[in-house]
Amino acid sequence: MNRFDYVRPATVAEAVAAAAVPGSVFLAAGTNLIDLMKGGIVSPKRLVDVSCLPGLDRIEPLPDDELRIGARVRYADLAYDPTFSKRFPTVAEALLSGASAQLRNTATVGGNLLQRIRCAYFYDPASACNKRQPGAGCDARGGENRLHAVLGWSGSCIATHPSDFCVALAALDAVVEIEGQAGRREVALEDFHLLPGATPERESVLMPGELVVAVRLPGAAARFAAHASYLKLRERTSYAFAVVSAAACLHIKNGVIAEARLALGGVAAKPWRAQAGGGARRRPPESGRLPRRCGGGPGGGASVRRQRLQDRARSANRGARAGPGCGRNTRARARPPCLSVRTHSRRCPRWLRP
Amino acid sequence: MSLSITLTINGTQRTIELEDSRVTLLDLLRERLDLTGTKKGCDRGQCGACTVLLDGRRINSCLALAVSNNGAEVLTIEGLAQGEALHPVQAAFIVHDGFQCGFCTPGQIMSAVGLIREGQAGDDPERVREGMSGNLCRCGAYRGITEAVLEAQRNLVETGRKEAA
Amino acid sequence: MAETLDAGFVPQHRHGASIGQPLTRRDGLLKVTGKARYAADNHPPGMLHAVLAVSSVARGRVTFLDVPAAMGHPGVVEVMTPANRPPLAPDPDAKLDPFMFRLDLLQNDTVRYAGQPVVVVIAEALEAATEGAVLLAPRYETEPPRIGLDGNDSFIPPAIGPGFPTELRHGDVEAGLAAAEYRIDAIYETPAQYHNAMEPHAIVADWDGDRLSVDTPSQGLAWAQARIAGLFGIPPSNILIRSPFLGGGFGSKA
Repeated sequence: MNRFDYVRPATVAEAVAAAAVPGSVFLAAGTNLIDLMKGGIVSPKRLVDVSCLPGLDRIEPLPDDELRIGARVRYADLAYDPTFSKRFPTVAEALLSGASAQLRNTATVGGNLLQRIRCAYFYDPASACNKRQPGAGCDARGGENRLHAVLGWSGSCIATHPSDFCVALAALDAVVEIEGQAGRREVALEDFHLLPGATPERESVLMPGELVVAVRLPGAAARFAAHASYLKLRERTSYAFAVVSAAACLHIKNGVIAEARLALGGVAAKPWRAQAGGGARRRPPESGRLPRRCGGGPGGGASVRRQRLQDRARSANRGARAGPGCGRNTRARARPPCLSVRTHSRRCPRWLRP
Repeated sequence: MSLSITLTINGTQRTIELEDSRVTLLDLLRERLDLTGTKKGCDRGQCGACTVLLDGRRINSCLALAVSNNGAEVLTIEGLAQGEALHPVQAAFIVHDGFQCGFCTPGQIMSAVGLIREGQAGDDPERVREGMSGNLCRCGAYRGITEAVLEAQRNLVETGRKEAA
Repeated sequence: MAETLDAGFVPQHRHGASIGQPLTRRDGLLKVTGKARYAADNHPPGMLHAVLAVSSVARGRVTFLDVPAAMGHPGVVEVMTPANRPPLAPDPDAKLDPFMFRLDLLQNDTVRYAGQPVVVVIAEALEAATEGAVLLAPRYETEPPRIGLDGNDSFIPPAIGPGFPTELRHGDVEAGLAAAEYRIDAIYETPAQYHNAMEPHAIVADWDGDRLSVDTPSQGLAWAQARIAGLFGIPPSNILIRSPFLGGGFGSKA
C-alpha cells in the first residue's frame, strides 16, 4: 500500500473541502478501498475519513412516505432495522444476500454504491485493463469471462457491478443525494452508475470531491413492499457474487397488477432496469420480459446467462406475486424451507417476513 | 508521520503512537502489540481468520485502518476467557471438536460470539451456517463449528447471557 | 452444560463416531484461547520483515528493477536481487534427494514461472517491505510460456530419482490404437486444485552467532533442516527447526 495523508474532517463541508485536493478519496469503512489499495489497484495520496461524520447515520422517515437512509448507515443496521425491513423486505433481503456478516457490520450504504466493479482482471495489476489504464486493453475479453456483462458492455470493458443493494434500490426508483463544492444535488440511482462506453474509467456520475450523503426512497416505493422479492443465483450458497439476480416488485390493486418493476443484477456495469411494458395488465404476465437490448455477450457463457436471466425474471415475478419471502414458485412451498443447494438460489430468509 | 490513537483492547485502555497510517487493526494487534491470537489468513477480508469484535460487532480487522478507529473498543481471542474460565463458546468448541489445525479457530470463535450477540440466527443450523459464512475452514471442521455455536448460543440464551463476553 | 470449562475437562461424548472412547484434545485449550503459537506469531527482538517481489510473467528474464525507488522507501533496509544475493552452497542443478526440485533463489535473472520470487525486500516494518516490493516495478523480456504438451520439445532428464540412469522407451501409439478392439477419444478436465491451507507459508529466521533457529510450519522438519543446511552450507547441527503448530499443510508444507 502506498503512503498517504490521512485527514478526519468534522463536518460534511470540511470533508468536501478536504477532498478538493487532487488524489483524495473518501474513506468510510474501507472494506472495498483498503482491499483495492492492498492490491495496488488504486493509490490515493490522501484519505479523507468520513466514517464518523455527524448526521449521515440515520434512517429517517420523511413526509409523503419518503425514507432517507444516511450514507454512513451500515448494511447490517439497515437490513435488521425492524421498521425498514418490514417496509422494504426486498431491500433488506438484497442487503443480507451480499458479502459476509463481518463485512455487513461495517460496510456502509454510501460505500456500497461506490464499490468498484467485479472483474478478476481489474483486480490483477499484471492484467491489461482499460479501467485502470485507459487504452491498455481488456484481458477479460477472451479470458475467463463467464461472470462478466451480457448487457450494456462495450469493446473497452465487460465488467459487472457487484451490488445487490443497488439492484433493489434501482427497482424502487431510489434517489442519491450528493454534496459537493457547488452544493447539493440529486441523481436518480438508475442514472448514478455509468455504462463503460468509451470511458470505462468512469463508473459513476460523481465528480472528484463529491460525497454521497444519503439514498432516498420515494413514497411510491412503499406501494411495492407487499409484493416484492429478491432472488440471487450464485455458485455458492453464501458469500459469493451473483451470477445473476433479480429484484421484482409488483403494485397490486384490486387483484390486478397496476405496475411491475424488474431490475437485474450481475449482468451489467450497473443494475439493469428491465422495461416490463407500460400500463396495467388484466392478467399476471406469463414470463418476465427481457430487455430488448439483450444482444450477444462478449464470450462463451452469454447464452447460458441469458437463459438464466429469463429463468430468474420468471421466478422473481412469480415470487413477487406470491408476496415477500416466497422467492420460489408456488410448487416449492410444500418443501421444507431451506436454502436450495441444487441451484444455490437465495430465498428470502424466513426471519425477514413481516 | 506520527499519529496517536487510543484503543481499549480486552478491557485495557492503551495509547498507541502509530508511525504509519497504513497500519491495519490486524497488524497493530499482531506486529506491534504482541497479540498474535488473531490470525492473518488472506489479509483481504475474504477468510475471516482476522475476526475481532470492534465496539461489540464482529469485523475483519485486516480491512480496518487502525488510525480510523481511534477510541474504539476491541475484543480479541485473548480477551475472551476470564483467567482459567473459558467463555462458553470456547468450551463448546472443545466439546464439539470444532477445529483441527486451529488456525481459523480464533476467528471462528470471535465470529460466533458476534453472531450470538446479533441474535439473528436462532437455533436453526442453516441460519448459523449462513451467519458464519464469512469464516473459512480448510480442515473442514464446519460440522463441529456449527454444533459448537448452536450449543453455546443455547447455553448463553438460557442463562440470559447473550451479551456476555 | 457447564458455563465454564476447566483445563482438565474430559468430554463425555464423542461426536461423529460410533466407536472409541472420548479423547481430550491436548492442544484444544491452546487453540481456543489463541495461545497456540504458529510460525508468524514469533517476533524475536529486532526482527525485520521480508517481502518477496514475484514475477508477473511466466517465462523470460527480468531486465529492470527500480532498486533506488525501493531502497528510498522509508524503513527499507535492504533489497536483495541477483546482483547482491548470497551464493548458494552447492550447484543449483544438483539433486541431493529424490524430492528436490531446482531452486533458483535469486541466482540469476531468469523467470521460469508466474509468481517466481525475483527480489526480497527487507524492511523494519511490514508496510514498508510490502510497498518497497511494489516500487521495484520490474520490467521483463518475455518468452511464450510452455504450458502444453503439444508442439513442445520433450525434456529428457539427465537422471531419475537419486541418480538412476534415465531409461527411455518409445512405443508405437498409432499401431496400438489401430490394433485395439476399443478406442476412446475424449477430453478430461479437472479443475485446478490448491492446498490453500488457512495459514499462509511463513518463516521467522533468527541467527545467534552461527546458530540458526527457524520457525516455520513444516510437515517434514528433518527435511527442512537438511534442505537449509545443504542450500546455504550450514552444518545441520547448527539449525533448529520449530513447528509446534501448523495451520494446515495438506502436503504443501512438506
